[in-house]
Amino acid sequence: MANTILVNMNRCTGCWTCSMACKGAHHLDVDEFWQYVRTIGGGEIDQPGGKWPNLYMKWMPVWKQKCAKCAGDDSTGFIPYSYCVYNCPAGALTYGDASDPTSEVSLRKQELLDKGFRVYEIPEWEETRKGVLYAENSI
Amino acid sequence: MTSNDRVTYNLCQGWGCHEHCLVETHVKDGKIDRVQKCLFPGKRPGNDICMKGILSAKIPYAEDRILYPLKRVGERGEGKFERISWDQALEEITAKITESAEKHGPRSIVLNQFWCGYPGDWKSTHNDLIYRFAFSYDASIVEYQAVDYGLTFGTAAVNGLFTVNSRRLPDDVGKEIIIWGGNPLGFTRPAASTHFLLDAQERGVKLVHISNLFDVTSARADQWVPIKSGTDGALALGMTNVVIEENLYDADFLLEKTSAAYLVNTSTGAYARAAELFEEGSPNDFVAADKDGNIGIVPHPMGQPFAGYGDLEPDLLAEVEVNGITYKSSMLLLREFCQAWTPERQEAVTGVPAETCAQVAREYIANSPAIIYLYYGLRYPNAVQSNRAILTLALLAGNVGRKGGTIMLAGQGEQTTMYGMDQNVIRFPREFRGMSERVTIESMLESFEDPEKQQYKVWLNCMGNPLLNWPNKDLWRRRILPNLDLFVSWEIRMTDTARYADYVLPETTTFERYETVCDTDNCVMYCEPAIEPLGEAKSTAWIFSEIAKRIGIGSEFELSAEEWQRVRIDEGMKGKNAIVFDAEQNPIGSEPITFDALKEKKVMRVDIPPTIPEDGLSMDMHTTTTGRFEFYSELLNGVGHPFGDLEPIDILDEEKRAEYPLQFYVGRHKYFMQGQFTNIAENHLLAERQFGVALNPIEAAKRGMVDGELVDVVNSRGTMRVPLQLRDDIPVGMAHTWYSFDEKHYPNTCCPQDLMHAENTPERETSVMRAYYPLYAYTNIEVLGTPQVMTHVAGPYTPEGLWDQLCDVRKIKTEGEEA
Repeated sequence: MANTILVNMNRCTGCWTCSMACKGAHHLDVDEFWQYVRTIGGGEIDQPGGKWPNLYMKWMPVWKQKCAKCAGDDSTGFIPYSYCVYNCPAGALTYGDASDPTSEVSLRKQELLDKGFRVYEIPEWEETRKGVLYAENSI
Repeated sequence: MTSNDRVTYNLCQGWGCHEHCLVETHVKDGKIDRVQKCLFPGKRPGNDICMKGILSAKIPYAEDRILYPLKRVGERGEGKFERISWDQALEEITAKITESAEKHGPRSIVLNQFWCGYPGDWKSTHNDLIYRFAFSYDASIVEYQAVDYGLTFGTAAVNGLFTVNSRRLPDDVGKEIIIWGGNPLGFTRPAASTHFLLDAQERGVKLVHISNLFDVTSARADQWVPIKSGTDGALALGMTNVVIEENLYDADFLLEKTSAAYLVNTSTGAYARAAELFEEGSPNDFVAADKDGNIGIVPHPMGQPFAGYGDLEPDLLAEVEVNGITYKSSMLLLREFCQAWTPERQEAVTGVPAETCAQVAREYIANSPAIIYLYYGLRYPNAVQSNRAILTLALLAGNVGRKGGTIMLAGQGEQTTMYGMDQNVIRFPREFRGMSERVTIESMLESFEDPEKQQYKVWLNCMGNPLLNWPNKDLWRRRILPNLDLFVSWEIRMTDTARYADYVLPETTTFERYETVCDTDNCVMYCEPAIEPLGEAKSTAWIFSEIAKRIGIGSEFELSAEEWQRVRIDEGMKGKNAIVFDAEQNPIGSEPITFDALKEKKVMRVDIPPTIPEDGLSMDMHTTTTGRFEFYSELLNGVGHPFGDLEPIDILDEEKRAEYPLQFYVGRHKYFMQGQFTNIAENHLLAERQFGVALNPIEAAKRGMVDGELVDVVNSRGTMRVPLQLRDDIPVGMAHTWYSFDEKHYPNTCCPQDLMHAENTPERETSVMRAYYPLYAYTNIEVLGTPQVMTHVAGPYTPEGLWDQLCDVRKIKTEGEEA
């Protein structure tokens, strides 16, 4: 069963579509997030790190333990995580069963590894949701 | 599913980004439950969604939604209104319309049709009904504001015609995409366009971003080239210098597709005509020369594709003397012109290191076929010339109109379906009273001073939010509004424009209306209301119908919004077919497009053989002087600009910067869509910290300012007091702010629009802009099917100079301090 989300950090543009899709579908309060996007750079939303002109910026979607692991419905073909993964316009998210080597998430992970990507998880002590892999290549 | 539960397709309310997404709306118990991306028929549907599309579900329910007709009490701009009935609103409005028509003629009624942010834009039913109203009554339509013309005219100079082309072009690209000036990736084009760029990058295509700011596109690019604002023409010339001097240009392409080899009479500056050099020569044919100095006629048969050079083997760098006159090929003239623009010289102007300039130029050639993606990122009075210079570079590389190697101009819409629906079926009424006048703001201002001229007294703001989105708000307060007898705005929320209206009419949102549009991904789409209109909101079809019957043209507006859709499809798409797909999205046939079929399928992919190639640039004929791609323009040589170049503008003027040393850069925010979505709490949550003005820490330190301090942004037009944010992605020499926040954010102080001047004066206006009017007015007839004048481009109300603004940021003076 699909239990893993793979984030391609090279494709994420920090657009927050995943976060807002989750928020909207679950009718969360304005300041309630089950998933959000961290900007890696200058410490604030969409602020780069470095000094002009040597700047960098990338984005990391984070799933909290509150993630409902949505099973989807017939409008999305019962795709799991069908609000965040389904709606990502950058094609940065893949889901699937990580223990199945033929699943989409396993294939995508291997594809990225073969291209030289690192694959990692957020450390457990940050208390985010388990089962989220991040793949990134020299940003 | 109960009748209160449904799924509909609706155009995204944030359509103004030009991704043109269709959203899938899920309704539970008569309320929008959520919005998600919509799939289109066929493989690689290409449609997507962004966070604004997701959050558009909340727009109908926003706190500042207009639910009832409102009538102003108090002064315009105070925002004080009383609720009135539709009957009262319509009676009073139509009484004023009739009065104005009797006194000043029906042309005194002006409709705003600035469709850019409106769902469906110029392809929408609303847009067509505006025309219908204007033609039925002989009312006027406001001329489009001069936006995007730097790219429009720059392209037209080279190609003879402006065109839009497909955002799918990166699918075919060779090895490189240069995004020049714009910030589409993950920002201005956050839905479908973004993944085409990322897909290309993932396939190994190099993404280069040339820009004056660091943003999402820069962060994702493989190489970011920072450049000083407004100097892009110089970089393009420097790159052209390298390409010519190092012999990297595509000679075959230049001969086959451009006028590079055509001789120019250096005494007159005109292309040599056969008639002046050959006894039997035609004044319509041109001339080239070979390496031995022999000249030959280059025929230019009218309306025919290029006929070749005959027996002549043309020399791209020819120079001959005949009858004491020197003739040089336009390529030789370009080479001479660019010789001075060394990478070192351009570095002094642009800040781009000479080595980088050369590297980017060489790689662009080596990585061909390559794309240059220009997305209106240059909004300066010199942008026409800058864009011409960039396009010249692309011509030298052979990267125009070639599969995988072309110029992406805006990357919006698909070529074929722009012509898929004949919208004239509802634009033109049965009884056509007049062609209506397209009136410029300039004309309106003149009429206020001169009672002999046609007067303009009633402004029906059917579309747009001019008091937020157009610079020079003061022009409205001081000159336009005081001269209008009636100002009415159709709205879904209390915008800055609505605040100044006499009457505000509640319009339905995209979720509450019927619509058919032929657009995204070559598809025709059927939209129906997801929810019942809230409050007393009405469709524009109803609003026009009610106004029309009270002013004597009711017979032209007897259909409901839903009924208009049947006309648009059954009549407007008569004879058109759609591709039929199997369950695996393989095309298996074709079927006629009818309203009943579309109503059932919701989205059908139109089967039209492309009449224009997908990039819009690879046709054989161009409406330029020579009928070829041109980098040398004899017309513009007449105003001193034979080639693209760098024209001086205010922000590059050291004298002007002495008092106001910072460029005042006003941008559109990532989480808003122009002025929309600012009333959605979640968007605000992400954007609020960025409200105010941003400076690079070096500029702040110079002024003794700290992060978060309240400061004054000043120029000759006013003072804007806002918090300061320190940002490293803002270069030295710039004060950056966002224009999306509405007036409520600026209590007792100016807003950005007040500080931005759009008035063109003979000093500011560039001669190049003026030269285009007589030549290119007709292109809009061809492209958009409606006549359009061009004189507004250099009028007193030109957003195109948006970023050519100066200011300073100063500490607030406390009581008793000297000025």
